[in-house]
Amino acid sequence: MLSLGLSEELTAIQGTVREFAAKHLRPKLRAIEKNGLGADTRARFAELGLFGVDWPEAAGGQALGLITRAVIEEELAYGDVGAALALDRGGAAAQLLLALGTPDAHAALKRLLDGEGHAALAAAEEGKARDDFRTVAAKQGSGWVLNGKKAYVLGGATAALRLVLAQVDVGQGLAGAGVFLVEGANPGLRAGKTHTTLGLQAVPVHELVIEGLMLPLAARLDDQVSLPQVLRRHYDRLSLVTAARAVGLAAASYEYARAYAEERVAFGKPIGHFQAIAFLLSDMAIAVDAARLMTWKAAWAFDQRQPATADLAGAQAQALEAAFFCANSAVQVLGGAGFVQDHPVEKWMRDAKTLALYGQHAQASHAVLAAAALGRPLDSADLFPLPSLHASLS
Amino acid sequence: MIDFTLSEMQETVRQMVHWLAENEIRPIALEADRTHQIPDAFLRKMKELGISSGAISKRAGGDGDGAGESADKKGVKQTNRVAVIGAEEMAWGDPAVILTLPGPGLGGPPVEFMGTAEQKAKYLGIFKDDELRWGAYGLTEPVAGSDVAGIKTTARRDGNHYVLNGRKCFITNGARASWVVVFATVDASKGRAGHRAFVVQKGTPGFSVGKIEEKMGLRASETAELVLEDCRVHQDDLLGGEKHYEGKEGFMGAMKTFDSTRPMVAAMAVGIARAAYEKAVEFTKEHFDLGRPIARYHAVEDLLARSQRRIEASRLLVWRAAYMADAGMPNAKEASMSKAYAARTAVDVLSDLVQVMGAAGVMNDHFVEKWFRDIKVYDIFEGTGEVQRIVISKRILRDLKSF
Ligand SMILES: Cc1cc2nc3c(=O)[nH]c(=O)nc-3n(C[C@H](O)[C@H](O)[C@H](O)COP(=O)(O)OP(=O)(O)OC[C@H]3O[C@@H](n4cnc5c(N)ncnc54)[C@H](O)[C@@H]3O)c2cc1C
Repeated sequence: MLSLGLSEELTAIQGTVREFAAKHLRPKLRAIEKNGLGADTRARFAELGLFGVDWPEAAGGQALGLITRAVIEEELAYGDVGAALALDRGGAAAQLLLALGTPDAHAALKRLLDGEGHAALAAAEEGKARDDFRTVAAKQGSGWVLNGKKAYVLGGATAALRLVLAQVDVGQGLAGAGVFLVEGANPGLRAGKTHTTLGLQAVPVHELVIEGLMLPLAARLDDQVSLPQVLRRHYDRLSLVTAARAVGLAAASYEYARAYAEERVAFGKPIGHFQAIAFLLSDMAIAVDAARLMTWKAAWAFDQRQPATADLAGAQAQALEAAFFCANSAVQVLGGAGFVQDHPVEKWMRDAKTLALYGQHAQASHAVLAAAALGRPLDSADLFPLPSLHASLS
Repeated sequence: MIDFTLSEMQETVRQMVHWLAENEIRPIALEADRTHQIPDAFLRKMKELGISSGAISKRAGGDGDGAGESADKKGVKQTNRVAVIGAEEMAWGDPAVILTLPGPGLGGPPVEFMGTAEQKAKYLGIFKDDELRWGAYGLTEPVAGSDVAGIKTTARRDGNHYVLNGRKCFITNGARASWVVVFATVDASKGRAGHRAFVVQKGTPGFSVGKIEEKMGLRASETAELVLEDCRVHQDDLLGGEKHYEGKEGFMGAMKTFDSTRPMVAAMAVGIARAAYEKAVEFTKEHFDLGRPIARYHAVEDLLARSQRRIEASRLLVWRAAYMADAGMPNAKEASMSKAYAARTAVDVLSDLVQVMGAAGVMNDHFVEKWFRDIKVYDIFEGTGEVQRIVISKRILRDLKSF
């Protein structure tokens, strides 16, 4: 029956993560933005044993569902969204492996879980103007050889596990592309330039240069499955994680601005006692709650194995809108103090904009929603939205 | 537990009310809007089916009159959830017609929350027979709308009676109501502490109907001015009795009713917005420009999608407020959040959807033109959008007493 309170178990997890984020993420957010996560923070997070909670048992996970993941990601992002992104060792690559769902994919996830490194997804290409990837994979003897260049790969330079999307059948677009697994270092693959980004700087974004990358036959993971369908499932899961982080970011911005408005005095009273500010804060509070409810509903639908694509896309769009609205408003509420780096809100505003471009971006989620409403099939643009702008891990 | 599945009762009510909305309410809506009249035969049928204003009565799967209780077999209260789910479907049928369904209407909740057992039996009991009857809620005055505390209608004690003087305006079903809950002050210097709620019966000497308003929308719904001139009301009709007003209770009673009525009004806004969205989807799929359905243009798609998700978000805020009310949690903030967001969303959505339908959007026979006119008041009555934000502000900001 319609019920909107968290279970005791989830409330406990929420409390644990909130405490962790308050202690280890929020106070260090500038350092994390500048230098990435410290080994110490990573180790402390690992102690919580929360990585992979939403993965199926076959992949070494705890099968606690996306709803659990949503609660965790929101709390981490409430601490700091950049740190939340950096703490996710699986990233978009893990989501793609989960979407593949094959024994090989699950085995790769297990190795990731048991190790300490992170995964990266190399999908996007700069200036990709046609349906085919320019990175190509050709069969050669008893293996594959890949050549090309990938752009916007989050954590690409140092990843322990990389998934590379490459064209196998030329002229076939996505249907003729394949997913290739590269574990550990490989002489055929090296980092190119590092992109400087607007926000979410805790995770560096690299170009990957692929020259004569030799892989065994089994490195191709999508043999038995339809890649367009897999990618759709991938975006479904990714949307939820993005949505939950966006909710956390929105909530952090709202709460920071709210507290500031109680303290900062102008014209003889706290600025929160002026309607223009108080009403703005009220709208921020509403935006946060609406986005959270949408996110929970989508996660719940997914966990119930209902068709959840539209719900997930809607949640993501709603949450990203809330995130930018709240972060932008928070800067406004803080005034000049919002613009300088003594307060985190200018960072969150940059992060909010960036978050909306990683993964399935806002316009694409609207297209997915509309497709569901209009009863039209998804076309390849919905499956793999604007690849040239598409960053590969979020 | 997070669970978005409707219970059996909720689902039954949803389906049944939707059926009614589609087959009984929607078909009379345009004509009712034009003539400002609702056929008696329709109202009788609704009454027989147990569909009343603002509440789902026992026969319709709820449990009782007015804001009665409904609980499942395990005794879990779900009155508010059932009510908002029903309200969304009803409003989907038509937002104006449903305000005229027989029953206690907005007058029901204050009687429920503040009335003594005798008063509840007396005033809500009258709805049990087969007659068409209405109740009404008279708070607003020409000089006091949002500023509820500023009402000027006076109540002077005279023996066993109170003598009421003043004017009420914009009262839904005010002219046809068998009784109206009238708010008045016994001592204007005391502000809210001086407020009293009386049940004034139709036909009481000194109680008359002034003008009936002509409106932008909701034209099938009666909006009346009420005049009280030396109107004598027996002390037994003081809602809750003297005792009720000894503490801060009195005014809080009036305000508490909002915690359940605001999500209802918000649910109605969701229903109207959804109805318009469905019309727009249908329309844009079937109308072509340059050889393709206009729904396939990105700008149109984007707008439809944005409308869809905001409507969904509104619904979830409504459900949350209702869930909290059923669970006995304080929900004033959440009730206002649902009303503030759902009403603004519905106004925005209607404006956007009229746009995507082009000329058809402003023609009377496509419904959206009417709903566009109807929806605006959802951001005005039951507390304006600004008033909702005042309620929220006071609950999120420390030491904020007033602006
Ligand atoms: C169709 C219809 C049906 C109605 N039915 C009923 C009914 O059954 N019973 C009943 O009692 N009333 C009813 N009303 C009245 C309704 O509740 C009031 O119109 C509403 O509360 C707003 O009051 P007002 O119109 O006097 O506007 P005002 O209070 O004069 O407000 C005008 C504007 O000023 C804003 N404002 C006011 N105070 C503040 C503030 N402190 N800070 C910021 N902004 C502020 C308002 O938000 C609004 O935008 C109905 C109204 C309509 C139109």
